[in-house]
Amino acid sequence: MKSSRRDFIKANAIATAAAAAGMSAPVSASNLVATDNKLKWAKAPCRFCGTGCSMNVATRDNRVVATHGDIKSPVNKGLACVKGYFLSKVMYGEDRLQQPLLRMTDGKYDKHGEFTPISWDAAFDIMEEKFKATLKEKGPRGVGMFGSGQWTVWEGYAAAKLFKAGFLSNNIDPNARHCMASAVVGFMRTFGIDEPMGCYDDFEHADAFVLWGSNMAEMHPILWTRLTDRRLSNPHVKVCVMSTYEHRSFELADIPVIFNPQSDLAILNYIANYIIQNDGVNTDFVDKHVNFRRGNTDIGYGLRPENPLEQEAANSDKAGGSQPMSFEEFAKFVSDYDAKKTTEISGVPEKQLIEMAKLYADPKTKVMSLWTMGVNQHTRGVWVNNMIYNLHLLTGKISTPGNSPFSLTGQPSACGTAREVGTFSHRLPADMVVNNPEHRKIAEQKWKLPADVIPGWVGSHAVQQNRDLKDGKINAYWVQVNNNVQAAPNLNEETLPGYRNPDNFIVVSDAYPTVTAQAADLILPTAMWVEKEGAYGNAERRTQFWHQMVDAPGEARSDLWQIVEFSKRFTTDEVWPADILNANPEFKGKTLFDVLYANGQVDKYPLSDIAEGNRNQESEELGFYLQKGLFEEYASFGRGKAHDLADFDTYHEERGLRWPVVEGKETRWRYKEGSDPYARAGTDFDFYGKPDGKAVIFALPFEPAPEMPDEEYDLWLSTGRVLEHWHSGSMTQRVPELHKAFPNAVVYMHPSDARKRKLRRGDEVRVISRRGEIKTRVETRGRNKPPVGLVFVPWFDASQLINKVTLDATDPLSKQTDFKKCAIKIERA
Amino acid sequence: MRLNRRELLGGKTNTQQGHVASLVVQCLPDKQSKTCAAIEALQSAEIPLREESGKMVVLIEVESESELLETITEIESIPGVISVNLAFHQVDA
Repeated sequence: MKSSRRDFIKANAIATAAAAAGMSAPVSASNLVATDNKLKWAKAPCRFCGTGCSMNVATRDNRVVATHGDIKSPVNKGLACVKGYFLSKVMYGEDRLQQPLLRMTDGKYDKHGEFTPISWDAAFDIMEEKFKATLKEKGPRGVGMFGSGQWTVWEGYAAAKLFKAGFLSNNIDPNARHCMASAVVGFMRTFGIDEPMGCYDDFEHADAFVLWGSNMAEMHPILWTRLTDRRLSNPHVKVCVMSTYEHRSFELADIPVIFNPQSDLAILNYIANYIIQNDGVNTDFVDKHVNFRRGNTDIGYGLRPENPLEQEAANSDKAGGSQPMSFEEFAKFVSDYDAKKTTEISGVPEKQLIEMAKLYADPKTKVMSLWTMGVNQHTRGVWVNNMIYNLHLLTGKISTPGNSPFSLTGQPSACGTAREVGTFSHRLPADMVVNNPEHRKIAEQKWKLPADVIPGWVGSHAVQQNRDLKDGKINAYWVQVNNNVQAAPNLNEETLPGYRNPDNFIVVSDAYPTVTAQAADLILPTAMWVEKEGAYGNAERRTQFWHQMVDAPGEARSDLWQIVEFSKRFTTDEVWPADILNANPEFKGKTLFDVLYANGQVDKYPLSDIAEGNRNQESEELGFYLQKGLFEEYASFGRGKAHDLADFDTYHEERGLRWPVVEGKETRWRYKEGSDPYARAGTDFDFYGKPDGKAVIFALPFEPAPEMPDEEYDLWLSTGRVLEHWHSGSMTQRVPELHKAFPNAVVYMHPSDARKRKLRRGDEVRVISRRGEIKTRVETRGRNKPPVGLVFVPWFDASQLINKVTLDATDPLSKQTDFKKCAIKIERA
Repeated sequence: MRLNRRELLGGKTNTQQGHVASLVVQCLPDKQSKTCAAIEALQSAEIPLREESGKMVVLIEVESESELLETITEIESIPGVISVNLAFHQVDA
């Protein structure tokens, strides 16, 4: 009996894989596992990365018991990567937080006390006390919030509203600042509108793929599979993999390129020069659709103003400036970057430089450029984004199938929440900004708020928030869905002194006791993923929804519930200026909950709108369909403004849709007449984010990194991830299987660098910078192979906090940290 | 069945579980014969379907989830393997 049952399961396994792989199977390819009638199956986008795979999620007895790739999903077509497959387990770690915990001594809050379980009421009481005291003493600039690209769309929206329109503070920023800020500023500078013009369909059309630093094989396995399928089924397709060290994606590389850190700037100018010198410019496209500008140079490194590097920089206060120039002037500018000079800076042989340049210069080759953290976590990250667009704009290889400069994302809703909702310290929904009075006016009207209530000052960004905490400028601080103590740079000198500053009260909402939670004063237990109704937006502008499928354990509650409940604790009289209330007496005495969420818009959808058979903890408690109200109010910002989202109910049916969704149709390629409804008739291409419909090519030079190896600190340090871990490991380390696959971080180094230091594989060493050090072990084999002079340390391991070592240098334009470059030395421990 | 110290101390050695999983594996076509041989050399893996393009279905039968992960990691580290994704997994207790 057992053996025939096992044979049946095996046949199922083979058939399911064959269906996902598009191979013909010996038996029916229907997914028989789904017929187990004890299980309830529903769709949800994966919790982990920015790819946005759709998963089928099975629940039984209020528990998620299985997940597998959704065969109906256009993104992953039935496949799941390893971490996605074990997704269900992220919810069931043994150390899952289930009740609020406050540091207490003798029954009272004490910053040096022990974490003690308290009720939600008591938790909100102390939060209320601390936030109110800070608002009274320091005003709106004294409070702050750090959120996430893992927030659902409505969580980010509700939080941004509470801070910007409730507390009147723009000190709210997401951890997407650490991963996507350079990409955002790059888009805004070149196109005037955020997010990729192309989509994943480009994978099936491109003739060449150029990976600018990205290790897709490990970081975006499903997209890598699509790229691999295209390469191997079409022999003419070329793959160029570029990195500062060799990694698993090199296995497929036709053109494998190892370059010196920071020299991507020179290589990009070399390619632009090659295109111009070799008749690769699409003159018609450039004449009609492109402006040229010379960007300001010598812009500093986003360090504290007293740092000598900032004082020496000529343009640190006007980093974003630029002046118009002609094509001829641009051609002259990049002509400095000939093969000789570029090889000298980059270490890349001329033959490889030419091979790469030809991919862009040949008008018949459709090119997809792909990048993530290597480009964005860069003190010139915005420049590199701009300069990749330069290549696509010079050649007109953009916005058509297969011609696609594509910025990949790390978090599941870095696009959908952090960027589109506008949870950054300078942004409002739909690409609007707080320092534009017209934009604030639009937001005030949409939110039915008094005029001039939203502050026009740009709030503190991620790295600045930690500096403000250390300096005692922000005293009441709330962190949701991220692990910033582990993730932020320069932990010893900036982050921890800020969190443990006696003047500060730090609240951390999380599902697990991360190092950030442990550094907090109050921990709030959070519902995660399918324990709540949610929406994410992936890297190709695809918005995806899911229903609440199970209840959160214990007293854990969603971030959304926490934000909305907390808003009930404040009245306008306590937080808004008297002159605004006097001019608008109807707002007097109301709670922030009344003003922000019970405003006749957010609370207008009844519980009966919730699709039958689904739970919804927050809405059932409030008596209205909270998520629908928040979404529809939010969507009103983008509709008609080239950010159109479909109506709420549609997304619960579809496997996501790519915005702008106009008249029920999604948009695959923006800016191209015929495929983008916003591209005006007769334009062919219309970069409508800019007033004259033209995108910008920027002339920008090579400039060195802020810290480079010298005699004492003689190695480059680069940090990053490995496949089995994502984010900071706060979730994946709870999945025993994933943790076991890669239990502790190591330092990858070249065997000859190890020999030079009389070290062998497995030896314990200290990785030391001018700021701090960690202990780890030497690895000279394995999947990551650094060149001589560079070492690589993964950053997921909470017992080896590599950010004690990293430098808090940021891109002056995007304020994003460069985690990829600093100088270190290695000594035997 | 492999004995693990923690399982032994936890008295879990009698829990006989069967895990069946299928993977979609892509390897470089010109290295396919070597890659397939290396996969089939693994005790718990077989290749019921393969294509000349280097794409194949790998069936894994193991006794625990951690063995499943170990096997996947071993397959990922075989030279010539480009991508490994999961399609199906069931516990046959």
